[in-house]
This record gives sequence, structure tokens and C-alpha cells, in this order.
Amino acid sequence: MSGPDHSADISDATLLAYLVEAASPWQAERVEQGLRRSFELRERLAVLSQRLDAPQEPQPLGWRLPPPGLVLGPAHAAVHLAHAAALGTDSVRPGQVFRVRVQGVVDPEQRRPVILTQRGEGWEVIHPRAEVHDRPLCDNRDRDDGFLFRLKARSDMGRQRWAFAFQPWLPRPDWSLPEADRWRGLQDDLFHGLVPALSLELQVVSPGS
Amino acid sequence: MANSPESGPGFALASIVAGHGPAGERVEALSELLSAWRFHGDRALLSRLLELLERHPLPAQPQVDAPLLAPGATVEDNRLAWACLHLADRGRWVRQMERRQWQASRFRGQAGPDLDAAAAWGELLSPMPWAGRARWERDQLAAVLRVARAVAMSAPGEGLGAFFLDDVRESFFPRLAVGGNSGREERLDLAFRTLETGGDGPIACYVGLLPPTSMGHLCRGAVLRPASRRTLRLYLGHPAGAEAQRYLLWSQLLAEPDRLVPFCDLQLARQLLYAWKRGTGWKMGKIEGRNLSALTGRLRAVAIRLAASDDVLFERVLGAVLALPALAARTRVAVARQTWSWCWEVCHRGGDVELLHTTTAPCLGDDPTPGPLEWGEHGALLRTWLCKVALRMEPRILDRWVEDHDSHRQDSTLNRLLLELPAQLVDASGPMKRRSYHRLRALLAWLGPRPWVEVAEVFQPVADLDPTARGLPGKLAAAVAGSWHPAIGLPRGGLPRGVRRFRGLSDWIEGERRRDERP
Repeated sequence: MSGPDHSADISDATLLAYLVEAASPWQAERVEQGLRRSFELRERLAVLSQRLDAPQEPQPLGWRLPPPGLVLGPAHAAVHLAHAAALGTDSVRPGQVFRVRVQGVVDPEQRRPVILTQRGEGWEVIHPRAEVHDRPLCDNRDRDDGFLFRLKARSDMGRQRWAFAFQPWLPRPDWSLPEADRWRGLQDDLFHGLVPALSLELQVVSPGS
Repeated sequence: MANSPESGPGFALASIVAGHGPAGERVEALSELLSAWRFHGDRALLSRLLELLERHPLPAQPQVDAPLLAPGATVEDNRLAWACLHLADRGRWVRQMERRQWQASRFRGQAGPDLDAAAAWGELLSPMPWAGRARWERDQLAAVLRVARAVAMSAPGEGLGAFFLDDVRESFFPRLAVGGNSGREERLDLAFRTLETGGDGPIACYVGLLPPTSMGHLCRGAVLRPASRRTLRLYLGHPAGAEAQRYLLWSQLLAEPDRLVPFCDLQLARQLLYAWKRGTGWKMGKIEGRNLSALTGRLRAVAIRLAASDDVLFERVLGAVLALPALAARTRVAVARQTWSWCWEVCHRGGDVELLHTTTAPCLGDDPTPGPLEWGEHGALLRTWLCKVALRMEPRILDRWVEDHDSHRQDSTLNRLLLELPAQLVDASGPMKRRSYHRLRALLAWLGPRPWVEVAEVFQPVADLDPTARGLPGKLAAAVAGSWHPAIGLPRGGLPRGVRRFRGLSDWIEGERRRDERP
């Protein structure tokens, strides 16, 4: 079926949808008609294709933690700032103490909280750092049956991500292993959705702003 | 435009507009011309469509005023010809898209990947979906990230931020495994998107899959917007009133689920007519494509909602997915489309990934209204009530009420008879609600003369009574004993006239039948 040439009206978004096979059939038909007729459209498509398929840096896949807003298992959390108890405020100063309250985790006596922070491309465990700090989640229980954590924002500006995983208390981590191996079991459990986990994002702003 | 008035369609056009000849011939010609639309076999609907086009012609616009007919044709005829010819063209375009894009030629089967895809679906739709994470990420994650990069490249403003690709990677499988209120919605969304690539197109794939319980949801959607209410009125013709029409559509879809496809086609055609009236919609495929996507999305939302809480339907969906040929290719396309929609949703929400939001906007909550009346369930009661109607007044008054519910305000006998209806035949009545009979009107409109035929047969002894005989009430009670439903009281007064009227019932039914058969 032929029709007038509308190739100039085809947006980059439509061309990109076509490239990744996400275009609806009628969009794909329009693109293909345009490609048959317009050299300029073929060139635009080639440029977009090149940008789209530019080599990507491989991503480390050790810790598989859900992005903020996506909670695995029955848990939810809210951030309190230490100096202003307003819930939902997510801007802090570098080094400022903030509190995170988590609710809904079942069997808190049988779980350990593992707290991580994202540095660059990877995650780093900041609690527990030593066997002596390895305590069950119920130790953090507050008066309202939630679990409260007191944390200090990192000194780097911008968005900081923090994550909580609530690992079964047993088996206990082998503290004699190097850190890269110590948490392998937890990483496997997170990959298979066996551990309640959540993450949150803080905006760290400079003191003058 | 592929067709010209000199060829076959031109001949059909001439039959439709020239001299406004016999209605039957004009409708036949229109049916031939619009054969690509799946409502083309419904002659009564085409007759209404033709009437609509004539009564509300397209306004003067350069596009529609190009001369199509022989010199001497009026401007109105020319616009009618333009509308018919372009509707035909757009119908062919919709069908061509379905054939070319949704069906087998685009999806090539590959034994190994297809088996792998079947195993992946088996895991994803099992009670332990996480077991399939490694396989899904191995097969799909690269394509998912490519889609995310494409969205990031086309996102407006400052883009989606540094974490966007990480978020897409980390949420892809968890979203599928536990996304949605019940934890099944996102998996079902992907399953239905996969099914939409098979069969006879995205709408038809739902026809065999959706259970009867879904029809109430669909019909409620059909009366929510003014535009779809107008389409429904055009589709059904009668009775008047959105609620009764909803129940009539509901009854039709319960009896013949296949009717969903022509109804959806009519929605597309009607949207085109509206667009042309507004002076838009000239670009081939834009209106049809957008509306077909919206219709498919609404059907998908209903299907997801039902299958998420129905284990049997959930299993049927899995079975239907596994039965698809070229499953790997179809899954790949469905994943790309779902990821594209999801990424844009995230983009519109400022980058927030929300677990409880599903990619397809969820459909409305449960329909609180009762389902349509069924003749099988209420036939005995309704036959008795109709017999009483036939004894107390002319049946045509009830027929007029079915067509136009306001007519009963003028008729006190009908009002009294309606008040005698038992609660199960009334839609809702209570301190805050007016007593209404939309379901009854829809059922009577749906069944046509059939209930009257049954009344004439079952209560034949009434016609045999002598209207001049003494003790007629007792004789009537004896004549209908065994057939009369006890929930309806026997008529007491005016029986001689009532029996005479009842004797004329068969003639009236025959007259109505002949009238319906006339073209």
C-alpha cells in the first residue's frame, strides 16, 4: 500500500523503537516505507544504530540489589533525618547522620541486617564489618515494632545509594574469608530472591546550598 | 489511495450514493466495499452507519471535497463516497498490518531457542519464578539494556540519570518475578504481549482466552467514555440508554465472544470518522494505530487483572504461551515492547522505579453491578410476567419501552406491571437508587420475539378460553395452572378484553417477524 512520503515526520524515538524491535506494527511499517524512499532517513537510522550499539563497559554483577522503590520480600523503609524528623526528606549534608526505619521484615530474631553502600560501579558492605558487630535484626527494634538504623552519609556529593539485605542468621558468615568471598552466599540468595532487600537513595548536598 | 472509483470499489460507491436507491442494495454495496472491516457482515449495523454518514456528513474540507464521483454528483454524495472509500482503504490497512506484522512470516521458529524459551516461560509462570532468573537474564538482559539505552537516547530534558541503566538491569527480573499487587501482574503482562503476536491479531487473541467473568469489565469500559458510548449506540442500534446498552453488549459477548472483534473494529472506524470531522486523521495508520494500541492495552489490563487472581486462567495463559510457534522470537519482541513501555513509564515518573505500578495501566476495580439477566435462569418468571403484560396491554407498548425507557412514564399500566416485577429482575432499588430495569430491557432487546413466542406456546390454553364465559378468573387460573410462576399475581380485572388481546398475540408476533425480515 503506497502513500505520501512522511519520512521527515519520523522521530528519532520511533527510529530507535524500530531498531530495538519495540515499534508497533504501524510504526514499523511507516519506518520501512520511509527507509525505502529516503536516503536521509537511512542515514539517520545508521547514525542512531551506531550510537545505540557503541561498546559498553561490562558491569560487575556480584551484588544484585533492587533499585530504590523496588522491594524484594515483605519489607518497606522510610528515611528519617537525625536533626529533622520529617519522613521522606532525602537531602542530607556530607557526613550527616540519617536514620532509616524498616518495617515488615518477618522473623527478626533469625535475620541479620547487612547494610551496603554503592561506590562507583560496585557495592561495599559497611555493616557488619567484623564478627563482633554481627547482631540479629531484633537488636535494632524500636518502640513501634520497626527497626531503626543510624547511618552517616558519605562525604561525596550528589546521589548516594544505600541498600539493606536481611540475611537469615544461620549459617553465619565465615569471617576468616576475604570480604569478596565472605558474602557469596548472600549474593546467591539475593540473586534468587530469597532474601528481603531494599535500597534507598539520598541526595547529598554541600553545606552552603 | 489504491482504489479508484472506476474499478470495483467505484461501482460499489455508485451503488451506495447514486440516487439513494433501495436500502438493501446500498447496504450490500457498503458491505462489499468495507469487507476488510470485521463488522462488514452486520447488515443492520451497516445500515445505521450509512444513515449516520448521511445524517452527519463530513464537513467541507479540501481532503474530502476532491471529486470522486461522476460530474454532476452533489457535494454531499461526493463526501459520502469519500468517507466510504477511505474507510475501506483504512480497513484494508489495518488487516494488512495484522497479517504482515503479527503473524507467522515475521517470527521464524528455531528448534533450540524455542525449546529454551518454553523452559523459561515454564519457570517464570511457576510458583517459583526466581528459579528462572539466570536463564531470562542470559537470553534477554542484553536486549533489555539495548531498549533502555534507546529510551535514554530519546528521553527529553536532562535524560534519565546515571543510575538508569543500572536500575533497568537490576529491576528487569525482580519486576517480572514479583511486580504488581499480587506478584503476578508483570509476568502476565509479558505473557499477554507475547500472545498478542500470535493468532489473528492482538484483539482476537483475547477472545478465546478471556472467561465470561471478564465481559462485565469489558462492557463497563465500553460505556465509560462518551466516544465509546456513541460507538456502542451505533453498534447495537437499540435500546436507548448507556446502561441497557452495556447489558445488551454484555449478553451478546457472553453468548458470542467473537463479537468482541467486530465491536473493536467499529471503535477504530468510528474514531476515524470523528478525526475526519475534526479535520485530522489524514495520515494513514496514525488514528487506527493509536486506537488499536489503546484497545489492546485495555483488553490486556482486564486479562491481567483476572488472571492474576484466577489460578485456572493463569494456567491457561501459560498453556497458550507454550503453544505458540516461534516462541523465542515472539518472546524477544514482547520483552522489547514491554521494556520500552516500562522505561518510558519510569521516564514520565522522573526516574522512580515503582514495584506496584504495572507496565500496562491497571483496569478499574471490580464491577459492583450485577451481571445481565439470563433467559435460562429467569425464563419461567419472565414468561409469566410477559403473559400478564399480554393480558393487560398491547405488547407493542412493552416493545416501545425496550427501545426507549422513557416511554413508560406515559403508560400507567406498564408502570404498575413493572412495579410487580420481583427483585431479582430489577437492577437495583434502595433508598438512594431509583428502581431501574436496564438488564430486563437489554435481555428483551437481545432476545427479540423469542420470549413472546414462548409465551404464546406455553400459555396457549389462555387463547382457547371463551372471553364471554362466566367465571373467567377461575377458568384462567385453571388454564395456566402448572405454567404460571407463583411470584407473579394472576390478573383479576379486565379479563374478557385481556383474553381477546392474548388471542391476537400470535398475529402480532408474526407481523413483527415480517417487519424484522424486511430489508
